[in-house]
Formats: sequence, C-alpha cells, structure tokens
Amino acid sequence: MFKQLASPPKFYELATKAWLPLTAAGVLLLAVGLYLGLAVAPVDRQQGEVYRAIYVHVPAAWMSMFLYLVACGYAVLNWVYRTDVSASMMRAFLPTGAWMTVVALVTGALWGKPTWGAYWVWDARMTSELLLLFIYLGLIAVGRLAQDPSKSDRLLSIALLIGAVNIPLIYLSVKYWNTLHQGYSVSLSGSSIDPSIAQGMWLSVLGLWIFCAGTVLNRGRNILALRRF
Amino acid sequence: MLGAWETVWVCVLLTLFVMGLDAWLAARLANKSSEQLAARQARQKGMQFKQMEEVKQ
Repeated sequence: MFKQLASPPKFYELATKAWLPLTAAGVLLLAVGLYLGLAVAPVDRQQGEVYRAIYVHVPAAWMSMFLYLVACGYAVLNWVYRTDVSASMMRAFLPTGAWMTVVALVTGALWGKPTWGAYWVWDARMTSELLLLFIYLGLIAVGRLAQDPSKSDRLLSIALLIGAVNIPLIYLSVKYWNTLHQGYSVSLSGSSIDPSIAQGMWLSVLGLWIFCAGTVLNRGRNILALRRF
Repeated sequence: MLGAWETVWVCVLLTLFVMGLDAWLAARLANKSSEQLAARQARQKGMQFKQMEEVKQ
C-alpha cells in the first residue's frame, strides 16, 4: 500500500479520482455544520449571537496546526525516501495551511472586537498563531529558493521540521501563559461545550478537514505533474 | 463596529471565499502542468520528426 502510494503514477491516478469527491463532500458537510451552528444551535447566554463565529474560527484554527503537522510527516518521509510524491505533498500543504491561518486570525479578530473590545491583543495564543502564518509564508519562499529540486526539497524539509516547534507552543499557550484567549474547551478527556452547540462545530471541523484533504490532494498531484513533465 | 450577526456572517463569508480561492489556486496548477506536458510532447514529436528526416537523408 505504502509503496503504491509512493509511486508517482499510482498516486497521481488515486489523487485525480479522489480530490473532487473529497472537496465536494467537505463543502457539503461544512454546509450542514454551518446550518446547525447558525440556525439550530441555541444562543450563548454570555456572548450572545456572536459566539457563532466558532463554527468557522475553531475548524480553521485547528486545521492551520493539523495541516502543518501532516506536512511535517511528509517532510520526514521526504528526508528518508526522497520521493517525488512526498516532496510534492509536503509543498501542497503549505498554501492551504497559510490560508487556514489567515481565516483563524481574521475571524478571531472580528470576534474579539465585540467580545474583548479589541481586534487584536498581543496574547500568547494570537501571537503564536501569527508566528505560524509567518512560518508558512517563509516556508513557501524557502521552497522556491534553490533551483535544484532535490536541494530545495531537503532545505524545505529541514525548515518545516524546525518550524514545528511553534505548534506545541500554540497548543500549550493557553495553559502556560496567562492569556486573554479562553482555555481548552475540547481535550482528550472530553468537551466542556454543550452537545447542542458542539454537534455543528464537529461537523464543520470534519467538513473543513475533508475539504482541505481534497484541495491539498489536487495541489499535490498538480505539483507532482509539474515536477515530472 | 459590526453587530453580532454581521460579525458572524462576515466570518462565514470570508471562510467560504478563502476556501474557494484556495481550491481555485490549486486547480490553476493543473493548467500549468498540462501546458508543460503539451510542450514536452510537442518537443518529443519534433525530435522524432527530425530523426526521421535524418534517416531519410
């Protein structure tokens, strides 16, 4: 299975078949999640209606970190096996991850104004998320630095793995710093969000995750085709 | 400052716009790769033609 996925023609064929159904399924699931969140979920007693921004803010913020971690997985694979597929996929995650970080930052700022009274504060969570955006942009630039593809791939792999230090920093920022951003609402031990509010959020998370998988596969197969043709 | 529902709708529309933009940018690469493939095939055809001409001569 792994060998098949590492074979460029096999991967290209699989990605060509999968990307559109995945993208469409993601949009559909996100639509259902947003419907549940915006039309069905009850209003929050403390925040009022504005809390509904979580139905896009939380999935985008999680995706910004998750995509980075998966890109790191491909960076390790690329470092070890040096395949065209791992190199293409490692690159394919970066623009989508950067866009998700932008969405998380902007929606967070829009929510912050009515809730905290400010669009932006130099809070540990927000600052580390902004740092993630700069890391993504830096990595996209690093990927274009070297003319030789194998040199460029190795450089990008190292840079990606170094930048991964920021991910636990984002995750733990609300635990170890006294931040304005709220603490964990969801952890491995459970969720403190009421199920009537949480179900729409979980569907939105799943929808955005599947959408990103489809988009990244499409970008990955196109990068792979550009490398090989 | 935006009202509560306005804030929510701006957030949702922004997300949908960014998703669409990202998907479009990813798909745009396909045109580039098919152009590259067509150029490569044309080069190969040109080389084959040149070889055939050389054989004829």
